[in-house]
Amino acid sequence: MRLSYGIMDRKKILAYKPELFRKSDDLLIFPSEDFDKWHSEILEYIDGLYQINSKIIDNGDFVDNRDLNLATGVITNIQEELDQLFNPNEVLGEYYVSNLDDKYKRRRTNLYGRYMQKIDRKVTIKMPVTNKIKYKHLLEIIRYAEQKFDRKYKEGHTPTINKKQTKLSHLRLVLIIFNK
Amino acid sequence: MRVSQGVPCGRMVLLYDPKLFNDYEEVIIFPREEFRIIYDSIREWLDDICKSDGYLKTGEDFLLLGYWPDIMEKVKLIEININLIFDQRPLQTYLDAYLYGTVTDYVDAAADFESKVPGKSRSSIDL
Repeated sequence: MRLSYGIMDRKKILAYKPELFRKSDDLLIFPSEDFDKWHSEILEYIDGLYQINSKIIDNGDFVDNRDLNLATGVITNIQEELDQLFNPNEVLGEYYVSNLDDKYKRRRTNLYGRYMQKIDRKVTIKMPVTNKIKYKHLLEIIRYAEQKFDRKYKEGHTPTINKKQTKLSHLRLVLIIFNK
Repeated sequence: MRVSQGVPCGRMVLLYDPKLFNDYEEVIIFPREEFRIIYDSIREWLDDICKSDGYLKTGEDFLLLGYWPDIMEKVKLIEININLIFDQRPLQTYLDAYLYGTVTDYVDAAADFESKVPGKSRSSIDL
């Protein structure tokens, strides 16, 4: 995000990096010290959530309803912090520097990785069917057939045919289909 | 916290409420639109967690096992959004809006394709 520090000078602000803002931009201005404290408070609450999660990573325990209640308590605290950003009478605490190890902050379940094929297939783009796409589709079928053939070959069902010969036969198949 | 809106004017920034700040106080300046995007997205993720919490409290403990990684993923997203405030790079949200906003090419491609199909005249497809 574009941000710049500045200093008050005779009821105006001298910006350190004024080139970042356009003429038409509306700006929001906070006291930098208070804003840093507010930012660090939210980071503290998020660290609390990671600490609840840490017992699963370290001990392999299961989650109870008590943990859920704890987590929702922390989350309501974050919501209150967000509300009080625009309250001028808010009393702020102190700075917080997080000492949590990075291994607790790492994302564990990447659902996209596991269900990549299913998610990608759901994207509906209507494409014109060209010769290139037809060729790709054919190749997919052939690769699938090859996999099945290889498996059977490893099990020993067809010991007489070499691997090179099978690939050649597939190529012949492709040529026959294309000529038609 | 004390907040004020402002307008850039050359090297200076003009304030709507100059009485809020003291003289020679250091301040931090954000564009309002970009700050709103981050603030709203954090709000949405928090609301999402609260809704799933309301659903989970009515059920049994075993429901939690499936939903807990989902909740932690949302927490991760909140952390990313919070860290974006002090990140100097341009926001990703603009890029997303640009990627999903384009629909123009699709109509022409379909029309071109159907005109090549024998037995159908192009006049039926023209919009």
